[in-house]
Amino acid sequence: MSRPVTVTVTLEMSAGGTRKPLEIIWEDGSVYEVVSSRYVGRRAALSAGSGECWICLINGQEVPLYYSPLNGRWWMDGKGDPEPAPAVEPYRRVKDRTYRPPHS
Amino acid sequence: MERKYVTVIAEVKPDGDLYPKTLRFEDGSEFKIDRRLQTPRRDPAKDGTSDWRFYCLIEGREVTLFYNADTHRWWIGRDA
Amino acid sequence: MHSKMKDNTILHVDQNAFYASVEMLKNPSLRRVPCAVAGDPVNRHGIVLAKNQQAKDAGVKTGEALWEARQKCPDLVFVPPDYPSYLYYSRLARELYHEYTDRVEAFGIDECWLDLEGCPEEDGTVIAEILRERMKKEFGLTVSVGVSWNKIYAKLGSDLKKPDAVTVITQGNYQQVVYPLPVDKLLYVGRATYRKLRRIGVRTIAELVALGPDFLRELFGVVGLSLYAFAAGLDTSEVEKAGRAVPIKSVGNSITTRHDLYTAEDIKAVTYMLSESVASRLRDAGMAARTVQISMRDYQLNNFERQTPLDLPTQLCSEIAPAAFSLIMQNFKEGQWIRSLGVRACKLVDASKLKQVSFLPDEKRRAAVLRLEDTMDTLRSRYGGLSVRRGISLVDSSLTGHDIKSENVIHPIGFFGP
Repeated sequence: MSRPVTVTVTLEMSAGGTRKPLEIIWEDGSVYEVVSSRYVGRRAALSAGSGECWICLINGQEVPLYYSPLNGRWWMDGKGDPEPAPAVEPYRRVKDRTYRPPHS
Repeated sequence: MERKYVTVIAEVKPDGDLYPKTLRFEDGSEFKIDRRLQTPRRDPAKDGTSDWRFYCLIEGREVTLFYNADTHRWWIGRDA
Repeated sequence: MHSKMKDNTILHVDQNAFYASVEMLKNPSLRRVPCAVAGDPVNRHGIVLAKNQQAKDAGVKTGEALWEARQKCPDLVFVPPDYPSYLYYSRLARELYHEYTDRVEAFGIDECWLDLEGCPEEDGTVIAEILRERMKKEFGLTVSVGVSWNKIYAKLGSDLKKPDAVTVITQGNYQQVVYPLPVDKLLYVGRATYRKLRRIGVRTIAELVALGPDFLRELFGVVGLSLYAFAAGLDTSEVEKAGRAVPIKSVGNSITTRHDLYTAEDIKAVTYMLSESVASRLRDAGMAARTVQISMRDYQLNNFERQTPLDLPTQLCSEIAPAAFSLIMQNFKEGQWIRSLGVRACKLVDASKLKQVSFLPDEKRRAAVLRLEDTMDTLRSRYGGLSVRRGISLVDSSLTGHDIKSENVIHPIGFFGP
């Protein structure tokens, strides 16, 4: 499994609307130069979600970088497991004391 | 004044917020953006579109940069 | 026996467990547990809007109350609905379909018909498979696709294999594939129609077809002719050409009948048939309507739309249909021939905010409550308010939906109305 990690991206946005990632700052602060990249269209991420995908050459490796038009965020497939599923929540106490579940 | 589309190098934060850093015109001239002055604003006159306004300081002068979140294009000036 | 049809292939694409699938796409750890998307998950008055396979296997049903679902599946994880994401993926899916044809008709947020005009069946099947693969690769979502020469069979097809499958219903196999199916699988066969058919011993689509159009017309009026056509694969209704942005602010059904409508009786039958489908879709979506809109088209192709507000937000056919029918009749002119009718539920609100709805999913019980309500009001007016302790409060005082926590949270009313 892979964990989605939102990142800071330094992006060149051309006058015509083409975007090119230049640099990525990881969640731990480390900075990675994007030597080259190619746009491969929409993809479901390995980690979570789906978005527009650029395959970036970073430190000699090709890694996918995703962008979500829904919230304007960039993210990558990080190592490790994603967040665990939310806990089974108990109900809030119902104020209406006369509440009775209907007969089945 | 007509729209003039420009190339912008910007930093996109993990929450999607944009910080423009450099401005480049068609003729190749480049300007460093000192800083973003306030949080970006939606253009109220054009509500319903994804046009944003960024007030920036460029070489000591206040410049308004426009950006469209759907086309990812930046421009200065307005439509007449 | 069908007369030679021009090469025409229609696809029906159905997103599998749409809301649940989008949530699992956002948070893949949800794939490992039974989960359900629930209107207001911390409030036991919510209902299940969608569930994943594990929840389904445990017996959880869409539309049931949360406390019921929990009883069947104690480990069930509830996730609140994220309408902005669902609308986003719904729109993207439609844009994908538009790469193949302009004739894309959305039926709710997660279903679409596609008309691949002039496309022979083999090519249509190939496109269906391509769509299935692209949805998985590009969105991480699975779809079931039905392929056939008419809308009704295409929709039946997508219902047959879930998830992630393509089902083709051909001139060669429809009798083996469609005819044995239970008659309530057919579009527009709602509870009332189903009960009527059961009473005369009709259980399958084959048996419905065997009744023949004349007998069905006697039994159901003009609606019977439509039912016959649907069952026998003779439906010729078109896939509407839609603009790319289809706002899902209402739930509607419309139909062009086989014969023009000119009697009140026929109009009423069609109105009730449409209203039943609308009501059922509202319940599935966990929404209630505050306004009913009708549309009529006559033989001169004059189009006509009118709206009327409802006394109470409702998901019930027994409340939508009479309002729609009376609105139609107010505007129906003597001697007019109606070619097509539509019923649409507008100004939608989150039904879980209406406590009585989640207590009383059955229409009979709502009617019983309304009668009880009358009695209590009478008692109260005679003997004073404290004489009757209300077991249920009918309408939640606040119908304003969720709190807007951030700009990105879409308020159900603000989004689905006005």
